[in-house]
Amino acid sequence: MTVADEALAKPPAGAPGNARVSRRAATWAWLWQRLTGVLLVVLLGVHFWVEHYAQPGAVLTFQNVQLRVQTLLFALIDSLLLAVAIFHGLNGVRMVVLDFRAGARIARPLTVGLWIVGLAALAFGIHTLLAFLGVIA
Amino acid sequence: MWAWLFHRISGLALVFYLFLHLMVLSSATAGPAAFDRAMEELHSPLFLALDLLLLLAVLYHGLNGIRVVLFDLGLGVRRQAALFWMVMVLTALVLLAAVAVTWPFLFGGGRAG
Repeated sequence: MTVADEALAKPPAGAPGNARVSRRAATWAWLWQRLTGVLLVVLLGVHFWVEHYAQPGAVLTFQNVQLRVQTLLFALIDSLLLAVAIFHGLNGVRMVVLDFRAGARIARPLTVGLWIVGLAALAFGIHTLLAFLGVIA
Repeated sequence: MWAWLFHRISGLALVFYLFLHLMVLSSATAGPAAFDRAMEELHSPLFLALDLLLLLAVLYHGLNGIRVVLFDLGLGVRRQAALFWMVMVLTALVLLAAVAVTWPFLFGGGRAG
C-alpha cells in the first residue's frame, strides 16, 4: 500500500472533531434498527387497523381512545409503539446523517442530541397517554 | 438504488410525521373537548387524503424494510429486483383498498354518524 492509499483508507489523524463510530456501535445500531423495524410492522398494522380502518368513517373521540387505552393490553401496546417508533425513527435519522462525511464528523454530539430529543418525545407522549388514563387533568 | 432512496425519503417523512402526530394528540392534555375538536377537523377530505399519503409512506417503508431484513438474513439477495416489484405491487394493492374505503368520505360528503 502506497502512502497515498493509506491516506485514503484512514481519516487524517487529528482531524478536527473527527469522532468515528466504532464498528461495535454501528453493528448494534444496525441490529436494533432491524428488530424495532420488524416489531413496528406488527404494531403499526394493529395501530392503523384499530384506529382508522376497522370502522371506516367513524371519527375518533376522546372517549373511544380512553376506553381502549384503559385496557392493560392496549396501554402496553401503545407505550411500546411510542418508544419503539421514536427509537426507530431517530436511529434512522442518525444513520442517514452519518452517511454524509460532514455528518460522520459530528457523530458523538449527534447521538447525544438525538437521545435527548427521543427521551423528551417519549416523556411528551407518555404525558398524553396519562391524560387518557385520567391520571392528569 | 431507487429502493434505497425511496426508503430514506419515506423514512425521514415518517419521522417528521411522528412528531406532528404526537403534537396533535397532545391536545388531549387540554381535555376531551379539545381532543374531539382536533379529531373532527382531521376528518375533513383534505386530511383524509393526506392520511392516504401517510399510508403510502408506511406501506412502502414497512414492506421494503421486510425486504431489507430478508437480505440481511441471506434470503432472496439474488431476487432483489423481483422482490422490489413485489413490494411495489403489495403497496399499490393495500393503498387501493384504503382508497376504496376512504372514497365516500373524500367525495360526495359521505360523513358517518
